[in-house]
Amino acid sequence: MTELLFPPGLLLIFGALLMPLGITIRNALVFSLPVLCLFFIWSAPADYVVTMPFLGFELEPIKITTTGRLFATVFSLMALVGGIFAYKQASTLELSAAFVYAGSAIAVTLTGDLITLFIFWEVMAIGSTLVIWAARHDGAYRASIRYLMVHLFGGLLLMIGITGHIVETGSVSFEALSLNSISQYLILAGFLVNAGAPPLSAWIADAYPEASPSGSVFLSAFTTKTAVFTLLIAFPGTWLLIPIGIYMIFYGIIYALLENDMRRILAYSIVNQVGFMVTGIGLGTEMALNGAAAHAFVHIIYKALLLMSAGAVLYRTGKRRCTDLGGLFQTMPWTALLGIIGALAISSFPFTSGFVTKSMIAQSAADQHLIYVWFALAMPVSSFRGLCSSRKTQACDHLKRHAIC
Amino acid sequence: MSEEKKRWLLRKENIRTIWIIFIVILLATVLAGLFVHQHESFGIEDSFGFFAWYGFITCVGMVVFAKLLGLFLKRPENYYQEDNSNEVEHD
Repeated sequence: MTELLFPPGLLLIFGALLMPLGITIRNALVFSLPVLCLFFIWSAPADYVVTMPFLGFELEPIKITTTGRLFATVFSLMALVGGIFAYKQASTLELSAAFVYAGSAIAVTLTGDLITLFIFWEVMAIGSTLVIWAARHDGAYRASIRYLMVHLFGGLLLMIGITGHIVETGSVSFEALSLNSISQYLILAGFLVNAGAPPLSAWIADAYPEASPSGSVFLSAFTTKTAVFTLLIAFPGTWLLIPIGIYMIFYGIIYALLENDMRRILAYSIVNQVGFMVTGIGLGTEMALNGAAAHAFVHIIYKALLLMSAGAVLYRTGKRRCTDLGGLFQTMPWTALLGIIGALAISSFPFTSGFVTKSMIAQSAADQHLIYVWFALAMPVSSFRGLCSSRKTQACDHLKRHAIC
Repeated sequence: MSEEKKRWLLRKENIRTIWIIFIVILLATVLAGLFVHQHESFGIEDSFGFFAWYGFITCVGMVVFAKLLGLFLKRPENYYQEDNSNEVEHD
């Protein structure tokens, strides 16, 4: 099988629309679609391109690149793993929405033109909003509307930017763009809104913790990392991304320290981790870009693990504040143990994935003799994440009291 | 709850052992700096125990900064929550 008939992401989107047909069909789709999607992604030859004429433009709805394949792989894995975590208790609405969301994120990573990218970018906003709705409580509904406003605004910036870019250059190709007119700056701004960059960083911590326990696992994986992917392709080595990334790193830590809701702490730490990736993209060397891509891959995995452990705690106890929890190792030893593994990875503890990928980004700053950047990156990596994360594992409440509270 | 019924992580004697193991690991990471070549190139990171003291000082600095910022920015937990949706219910 080497011929792809349609974008692999569409497989998940169409499959999601069939999910309401019945619980058995739904569960079969949840387990089979991501595997099928992975098969398509990996059976297509490298640099495979499908073109399609549209309004005088040559669209590339499928373009397999190395970076795109990396992101599409981890997104498919997350659809599968998230689906397994969710299928027992999540509503059909939530699972369908999550698969539309995952499918459109995969489609963005496997596209070669800006028009297809924009269409799936917007589908992603709708899918993710529905995932938040599926929690079915007032707080979730209100948070989802705020969330949607931010993403429609980001989408609008992107659309104006793309239109301007096409008018100026005549090219719809999604490739490295140089910042030489306001259109490219608007495209950059559109991508950055989804990454959680300042001044709109608050939407992540506002909306994600309002989703259901499984919903926030899906949410943590796709939106911000798709933004990282698009920045990686379109704006590698843009120096402006370095201060933006460093701001995000510290924003995430400082606010996580003041927060008490366990999933909101994790949401702030998404901003922090995406900050590392954005800084890496700004540094722009081969190792920095590889580090940013690798960090996105591993971050999706360990953040999903942390949100699953927090989700399991929320499901079992119904409590979301750290100060109401503690001593859960007694009743939930496996959850605690897995949460600790996730916390070690996010703290870049030696022999974990985060240790390798964050070091790649920090080392790139050192290689370019950017001393302030290196010191800024070393600051949160060095010790603090460990203490901050121990608060999230809900296992070491004695450690928590000693460390932070 | 009696000590025997508690899981290993929560028993008093084990907590003591865990603390000792953690402290040994921390000392080992500092001492490892004597034998491992650092890849950075600014000079200061070669000084003894750089990552330990830099990590500790910046960690304390960030906590202090966050608490000071909290004095201005922090609101009570139910500030936005007249609808009482803080505790999510599941069936």
